[in-house]
This record gives sequence, C-alpha cells and structure tokens, in this order.
Amino acid sequence: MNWPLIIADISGGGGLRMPPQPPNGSVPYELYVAMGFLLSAAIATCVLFRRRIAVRNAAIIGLIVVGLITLIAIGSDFGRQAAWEQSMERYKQENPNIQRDPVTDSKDQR
Amino acid sequence: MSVPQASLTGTRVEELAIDATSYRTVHVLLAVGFSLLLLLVAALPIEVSIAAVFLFAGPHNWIEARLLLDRMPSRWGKYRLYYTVSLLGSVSLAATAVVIALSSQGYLVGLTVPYFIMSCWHTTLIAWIVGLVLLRSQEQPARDWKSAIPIGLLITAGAWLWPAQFSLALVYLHPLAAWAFAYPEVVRKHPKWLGAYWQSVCAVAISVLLLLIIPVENQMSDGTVASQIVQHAGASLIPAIGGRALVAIHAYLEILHYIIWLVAMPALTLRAPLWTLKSAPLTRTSWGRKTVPAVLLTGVFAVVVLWIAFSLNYSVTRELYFTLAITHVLAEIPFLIRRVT
Repeated sequence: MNWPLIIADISGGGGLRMPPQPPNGSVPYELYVAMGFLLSAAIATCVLFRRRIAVRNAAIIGLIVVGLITLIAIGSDFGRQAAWEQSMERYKQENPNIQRDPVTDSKDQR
Repeated sequence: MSVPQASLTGTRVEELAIDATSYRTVHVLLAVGFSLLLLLVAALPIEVSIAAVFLFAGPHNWIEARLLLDRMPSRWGKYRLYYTVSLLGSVSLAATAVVIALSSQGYLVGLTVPYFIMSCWHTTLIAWIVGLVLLRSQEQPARDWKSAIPIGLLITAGAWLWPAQFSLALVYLHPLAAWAFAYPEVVRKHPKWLGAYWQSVCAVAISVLLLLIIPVENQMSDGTVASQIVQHAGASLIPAIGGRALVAIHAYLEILHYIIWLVAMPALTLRAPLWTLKSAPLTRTSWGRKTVPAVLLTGVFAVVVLWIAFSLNYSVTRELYFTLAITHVLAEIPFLIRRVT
C-alpha cells in the first residue's frame, strides 16, 4: 500500500503528514528463544557446577547479564510498540477525515 | 630415540633405520602433498571441487560405511540404549533434513520450510548429540561429562540466532570429523605417527589461513554449477570472504576428508582386505551373514549409479548428493563419540 499517494489523494494534494511508521526494528522471536537457551545454559551450569565456585560465579554473572539483556529487549520492544500505538491514536485524532484505518494498513504494509 | 647401540642386534638397528627413513619420507610426502593441494585449490577451486566430488564422493561413502561396519557390535547388550538412540536419531534427523533441504531447493512443490523449522531441527540435532554424550558417559569407566548440557544449550542459542550460519558451520566441520576419526587410530596403533598427525593438523590450519589472506582474483566463471558451488560454500552468508576463497577452502577440506577416508583410515584400521568382511562383527550373526554383503553390494551399485548420474547431469546430482549426504554425516556422530572418548 503506497501511503503517501493515498494521503495525497484523500487530502486533494494538499498534503497530510505521513502516518507514524510501525516499529520495524522489533525484536525477533528467535532472539527470545536464544535468550531462553542462554538462560538455561547459565542455570544448568549453576546447578551442575555448584561446588566449583569459579565456574558457578561465572555462570551467575552470565545469568545476570543475559537476564538484563532479555529484560531490556522485551522492555524496548513493548515500549516501541506502545509508543507507536499512542502516536497512531494521535494521528487518527488529528486526521479524522481519513476513511481507511492506517493502523491496519501500516501493518499490512509491514 | 636414545637407545644404546651396543644393546641392539644388527637386525633391530636396521629396523630402526628403516623406521626413521620411512618417518622422514612420510614427513616430506605430507609437506609436498599439502603444498601441491594448496596450490591446486587456490588456482582452480571450482574445477578441483567438481573433479573431487565426481571422483571420490561415492567411494568415500562406501569405504566409510564399510569401516563403520567394523565398529558395529553384533550384539548390542549393555549398549542397547546407546545404539537404539543413535539409530532412531540418525534416521529421523536424516529424513527430516532431506525433506527440509528438498523443500528449500524447490523440489517439493507447495511445501516451504521457514527458518523456524530449520532451527527446531538444529535444536533436535544438538539435543541428540548431548544425549549420546551423556549415555556414553554412564558406561564404564564412568566419565564426568555433565558439562555437555550447558555447552549444548549455549550452542543451541547460537543456532537460533544464526540458523543459516549454523548449517554452514556443519558443512565446514564435517570434513574435519575425519581427522577426529583418525586420531584414536593413530594413538592406539601407530603412536610414533602422532607427531606427523599434529603437524598435518597444523598444516591444514595454516593452509586455510593462507587461502583466507592470499589476495586472489574473485572473478568466478559463470554457469549453474559454478554458482551452485559458490552458494554451497556459503558465499552469500559470508560476503566478507570472497566466493573463490570459500570454494577453495571447502574444496581443500573436502579433498583431505576424502584422502583420510580412502587412504589413511583403511591403512590405519584394516587388518584384512576390504572385501573379505571377516572383521565386521555383524557378519557373524545369522541375519548379518547375508544382509551385510547385500548392503555393501548395493553400495557399490550406488557408487556406479552416482558416477553415471554425475556424467549425465552434474548440477542436479551434486545438489541431490549433498542433500542426501546428511545421512552419512549423522551416522558418523555416534561412532565418533564412542571412538574419540
């Protein structure tokens, strides 16, 4: 769907501003799966090598680092999605004459 | 070797002299062989790759099957669980891998396999290998290999992050498995060759580095086969390295893999000619007496068919061969785990 053309058409060439683009840099699900395996590896190391202090401590540090990265990734993913939805709402309020649903169309476009 | 000359008989001194001469000869032969091969693959990577696969792909599979038959016990006994898991895992993984590969190559119309399925296959493969390692560790003498679990999970994470690169890593790691197979044979039967073995390993590493850093003209000949070989070597996945260098490295490793299976392994392991089958324990069972020769004869027939197919349509045959070759890659793994450990 070519949004600039549609918007130009609806607005009679007067020029509406572009709808906010969906967050195309969202975290892929593979990253979550990989993080899950990394966390499992760290937990397994902690459990299996609980008597080897150095290995266990290294695994705990790894666990914390991977856990933080996972939380940041999930947080930023949700944050970007929420920010886009908010700006989309604002866009619809500012441009009530648009018949089509830009949210759906933008998602289709993605 | 510091042996007092006075304590040796004349015959023994002659034997030692012959040993030393043959040892030096092997060193010279290895050095010359590695250098010539390096020059050859650097100059004509595509041509060498085509010729090597055409000539040696089928025979090396046959000899590999023949030598692995020597390793298969006639009665599994206490190893029943290990061999059952090995057999079920290798058959099911090979079948699914062939379906995935054929669908991605467009041979199975209407079936497209996303990366998700490929990553699931990688996960199953790693879980299977870790399971085999753990089963092996429980055999006497018991070994402490629980670290295989976190290592396996770590590799699985990598396989999910980079599925295509993981598949490519398997393509490059498989030729090196032949070196791992040869190592215990050298240690047990010819320990004096261990130095030559490690020198060869170092020579391979240096050769691969040379092929990576030597500036070669990246001009590739056009054509289906050439582009197919370049893709198989992973040119699209590692654009930083030229397609020509990747093909040269792959051809180099593949030829060494063929040489180990066709020359070194039979020389190191066989006590009787390949065709006598006396050393294969399975032939001592009632069903194996007829089945094993029948399987090996079918293998000979398959090698001849493969040569004919390569002559008729090299491109399609090569693609199908490397698709089906996953079967022998998977079959090697249980034997490798038992042999190396």
